[in-house]
Amino acid sequence: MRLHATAPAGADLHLIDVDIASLRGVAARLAAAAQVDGAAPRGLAAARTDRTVTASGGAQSALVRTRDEWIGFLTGLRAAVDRSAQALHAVADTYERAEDDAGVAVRPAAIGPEPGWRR
Amino acid sequence: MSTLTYATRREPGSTDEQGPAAWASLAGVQRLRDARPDDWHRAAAAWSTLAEQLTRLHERIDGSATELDAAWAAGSGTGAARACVAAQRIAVRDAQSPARQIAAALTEHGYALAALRRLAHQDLPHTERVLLLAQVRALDERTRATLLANRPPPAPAVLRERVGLRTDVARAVVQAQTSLSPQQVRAWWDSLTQAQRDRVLADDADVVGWLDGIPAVDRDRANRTLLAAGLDRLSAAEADLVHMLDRLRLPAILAPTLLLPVLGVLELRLARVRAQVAGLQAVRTCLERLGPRALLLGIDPGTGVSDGRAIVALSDPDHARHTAVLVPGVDTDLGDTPGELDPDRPSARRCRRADSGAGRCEPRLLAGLRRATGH
Repeated sequence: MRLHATAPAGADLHLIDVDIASLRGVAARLAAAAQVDGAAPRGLAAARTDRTVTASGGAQSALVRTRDEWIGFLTGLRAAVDRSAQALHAVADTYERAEDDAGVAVRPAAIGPEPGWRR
Repeated sequence: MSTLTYATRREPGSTDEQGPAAWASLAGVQRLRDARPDDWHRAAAAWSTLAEQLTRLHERIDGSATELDAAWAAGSGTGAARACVAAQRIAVRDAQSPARQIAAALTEHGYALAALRRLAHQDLPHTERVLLLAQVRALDERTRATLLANRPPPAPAVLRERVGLRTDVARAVVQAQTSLSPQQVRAWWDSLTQAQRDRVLADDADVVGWLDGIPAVDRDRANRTLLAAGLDRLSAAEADLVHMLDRLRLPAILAPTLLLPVLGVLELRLARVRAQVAGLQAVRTCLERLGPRALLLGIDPGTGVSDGRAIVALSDPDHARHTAVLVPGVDTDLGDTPGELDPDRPSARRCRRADSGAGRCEPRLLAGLRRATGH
């Protein structure tokens, strides 16, 4: 994923500008959102109108077509949100490793707003 | 020409109940009577739920974007992350309105269909039946247009580019895998994104469900989809056939000379459908009894004349050290599945003994395969 490739490999990791715990919180919330809303496509698929086709041929087939397109869209969207979450975790991992490499516990609250530390 | 006779009141001396047009309008009205508005209301409820979920998802992503600003203030990646999350927020925002429009259209369709259906139960002359059916067609067209106008919004380019939202895999590409080796199939499967795999498992389950090289857990997912869809389809067919038979047995529907052959054909068809339903239900019961470790590696309901087929693994063969394969005899069918895979059967006990003798604690796999009779 592009985000994954860009952020962890970036040369300018400003440790004081990232709150790793908060970043993981954002990632967790995005991942949870993707999981919860994964139920939506299943709901659409479960609502069947196949047996009403006799009185509503055009609308019924349009509904099946629209539903299938929406399920594809929602599946893709869910995957996208989930991957964003994974990418943010990867960013947090990278910053954490940078901290370990530096041998000091660096946290924004402890250092202050000035970006004085660069890997 | 058949001697179909509908139990409909006719005006004395009227000729409007005769001729092909009159029969067509009678048939159309009968279909309208059989329509099920509640199904449309249920579909509307599902779309309404989707719209609510999209609203919640939008709120969550919105909140996450704000938190992201605070958590990751600078760096070369933060701009990319913000753009990505913002694109997802826009996609979700733009999807809410079409989902609501569809829910509203389906609700309206359900109510309108119910009203027209009530009229269809009245004893109408041909001319009024024609008018009624014209209203049905107009309603149908109106709903169709609304549905097609509210297809999902195109994903923003940034979203497609960054996270690979493109999920479609041509069916021809999937089918082409059937001529490749399992190793080649596995390499192809590994090259797909998760979204693409999800799409293939949903759209081409009939192909990948039997495809060697696809991970067993994914085959299981495809085949359980097929199993559920097959039961839905066959149960609906069974209900339709029962309904048709009930109607035909009413007095004055068909002349007796025609009734018996038609009943015979339909009853035979019903028996075949019921045999298929029973076979699939037996497989489902078996899977439920075996629990989450069991995997369905192939399912074919058969035709009602030929036996169906199923492959059930008692645990994941991709991680098995040993496998034992049980192929039941030609006189078995899908309905025998629970008995064939009973852990107390001698074959299962022998398998456990052999595995224990080899220093293993339990059999990793016991597969059941039903072949069509005579093969």
